[in-house]
Amino acid sequence: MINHLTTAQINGLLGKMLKSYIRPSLLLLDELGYLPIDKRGADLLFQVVAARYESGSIVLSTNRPFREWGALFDVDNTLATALIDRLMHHGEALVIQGDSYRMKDKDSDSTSA
Amino acid sequence: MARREDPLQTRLDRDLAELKLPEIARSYREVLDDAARKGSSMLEVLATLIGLEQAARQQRALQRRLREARLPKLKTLAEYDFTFPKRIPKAAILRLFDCDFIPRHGCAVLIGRPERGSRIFSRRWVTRRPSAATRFVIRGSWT
Repeated sequence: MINHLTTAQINGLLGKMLKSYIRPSLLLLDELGYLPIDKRGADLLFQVVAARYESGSIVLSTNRPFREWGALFDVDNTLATALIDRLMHHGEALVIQGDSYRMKDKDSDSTSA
Repeated sequence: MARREDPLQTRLDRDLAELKLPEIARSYREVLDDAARKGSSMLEVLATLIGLEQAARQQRALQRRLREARLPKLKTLAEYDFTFPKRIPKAAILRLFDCDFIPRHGCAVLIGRPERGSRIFSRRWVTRRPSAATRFVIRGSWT
């Protein structure tokens, strides 16, 4: 999503692209934190989250706990706090702990082999 | 002996094709027969036919979005083994999958190390009660 928004911004089409992420009733963002996010990317992500605040749902999956979000967004703790604030005001955080679910499949595959 | 075509039915089939209402075209004979048996009103018949077309459109729209999302593999929540993770808020996750938070514009953040469930759940979301989210977008590093 960030790559799409960055390209749109460079081409002067940011407004149109933002609408496509703001209009849907549910925005599902997978694997936040898997790839580094620069300042521009962080600002664009914030624009989407801020625009959807109290007007559209977001489900976000991440491998990074909230305390690491500042480092994730180009060491911008203010932006990270504002982002978490908007997500959590009418939201909840669900923490999943344990071994990799992928390893579970691998174990069962190796057992059956 | 070849069945004689009813001109009214021929016209109806042609009009439905032009109006791009394939589900009604496919089901109206069966719905009319069923209505005749049950003595249903014309309003009930109309509502049934329009409802079938609407449901089929929603399903096609869902399939199109799933193709556009280029998900690696579709999985359902029922396939997920809740006993595998060391700690998982099962009740909260199941409640979330009812999608009741969507009309309230609520949010959720699934936090977990890679492949401990958060990513797996997000792939399952799209197969769960799609009507609750008539418009949705899926984006991730795998798209």
